[in-house]
Amino acid sequence: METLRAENIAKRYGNKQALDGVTVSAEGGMITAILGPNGAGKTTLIRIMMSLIHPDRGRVSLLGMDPFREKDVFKRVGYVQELPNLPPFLTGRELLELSAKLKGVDRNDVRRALELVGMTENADKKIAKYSKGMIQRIALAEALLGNPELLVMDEPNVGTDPILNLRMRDVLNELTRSGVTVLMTSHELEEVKKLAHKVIFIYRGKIFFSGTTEELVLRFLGVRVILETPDREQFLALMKGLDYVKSVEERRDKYVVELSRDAREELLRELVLGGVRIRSFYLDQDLEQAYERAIKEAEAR
Amino acid sequence: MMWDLISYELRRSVARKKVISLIAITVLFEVGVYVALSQVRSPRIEELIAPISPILWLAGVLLPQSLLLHFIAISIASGSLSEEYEQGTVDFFLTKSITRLKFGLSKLAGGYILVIGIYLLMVLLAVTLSELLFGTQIELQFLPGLVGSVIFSSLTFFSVAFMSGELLRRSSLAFLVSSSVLIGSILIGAVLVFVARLTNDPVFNSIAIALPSWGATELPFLYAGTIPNASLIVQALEIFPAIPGTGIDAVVLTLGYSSISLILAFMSLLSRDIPKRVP
Repeated sequence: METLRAENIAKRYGNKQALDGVTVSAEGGMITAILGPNGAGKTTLIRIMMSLIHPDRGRVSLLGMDPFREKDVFKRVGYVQELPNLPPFLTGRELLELSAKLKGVDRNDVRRALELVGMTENADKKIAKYSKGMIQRIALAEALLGNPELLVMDEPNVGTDPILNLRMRDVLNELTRSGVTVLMTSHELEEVKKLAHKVIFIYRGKIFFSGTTEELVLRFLGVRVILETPDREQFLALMKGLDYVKSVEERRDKYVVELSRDAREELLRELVLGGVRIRSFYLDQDLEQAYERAIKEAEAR
Repeated sequence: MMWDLISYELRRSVARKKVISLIAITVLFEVGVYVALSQVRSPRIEELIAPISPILWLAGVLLPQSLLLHFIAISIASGSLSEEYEQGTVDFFLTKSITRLKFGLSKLAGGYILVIGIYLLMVLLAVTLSELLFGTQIELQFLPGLVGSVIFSSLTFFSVAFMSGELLRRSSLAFLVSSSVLIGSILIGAVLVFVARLTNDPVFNSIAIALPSWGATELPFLYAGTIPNASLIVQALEIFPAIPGTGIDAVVLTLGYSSISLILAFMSLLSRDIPKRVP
């Protein structure tokens, strides 16, 4: 079920068209990641969805409500801003208590949210004394107050350590299992690969790609299979005879086979029938390379 | 919900060193005035103070009204919204189930309550110190009306500073602009009064009355003028003694300047984008 929709959004700043007819949607129980280089329009889009910026054109619907007119929708939405700016004179607990009051949430939920992000021990320190990671944790706890149906996060991995990333991943997976919609922007492609069910690639205010991370890799990197075999000569000889094999690259004890089409099953069959022993066989999902190629392709357009 | 935001605004203001400094200055100011008056013991001073010593509470209540209270109001109001923009904390509030109008009204109310609180502290000190140092004080029945007129008058520059903070979204710039309006309008008013006296042309007085500083500073003095035996204190503290305006003029001008400023501030708050904070 579609819980978030931004339709035909346009926004101009002076001479710069920040967003140009962008349509984005996110569904319940899924994590959607918005990707794109700096200045692509990701944060502008998120801020429009959060009713902080008025679009020049288009409309936004969060959980079926217009966030610009129906502010009550924010009782059901959690938002983590990029590099969260929180009142420095409050303690983490005070911030969450204030948020609980503004959201109309039971104050007991504060304890649960603090435990969820591992901030119980530091909850009574002033936010001014927090590290970047602790601020991210408390911002996440604040967004999770009241069990939101929609969670919007702008660059949630900035300044986070691997432990927090792991915990955040667990929390997000748990949320999506219970049907929560998560929309995030991120430059941390490894996190996106592990988390996102769907990615939307924005470039210069326009959507350049929308699909799964696998589809993104296939689209911009082509079909590349990484396999491991001890039968080097036999394997290379076999590859020369297959018309859909574009290239074979040797990387230490592994081979990267680039295919002209998605012929993974055929390739595997040929290898087995040809008596080539296979120790591992998987699709190359190097999101970073795919991302780099996507940017180059977008620039070339 | 609005009270939660109002109490947040009070806490935020108190957490700022600027406001703490202003409260310290307030206390020093009031104590200093009364200690100075009680310690200076020349025969001429004694002769001057003797008839007014039962109403010396009036000096401490009126003195801040001339300038200090307006600066306090400007200092609090200029940062009320602008500091939220500067620190990026405005996102936290505007992504909750609260309208921009309620957010702005809560900030306005919180700041104004703080101004009132600081002024009431001054009043308390003035009454207590005058009672302690100069004996029983009389005519205290005028105190509520006078305090009310001072609080009402402070609304002009509080609103101007609130508007500047929202329009400029830079606290230091908003403070500078609002302070310049206050000082500039006092100086221009004084020049206009002088020109009116030289030329005998009442138009200059009318222009001086129309400036924001006249309404903001004169209403309490006009009210205090009705207190028996208060004329000496009023004359000593009044900024525009020679301008023949009325209390109604002062009320209308205060309401006019405050309303225009607040309308502009809320038009901006309701319609403008909230850009990402640039670290």
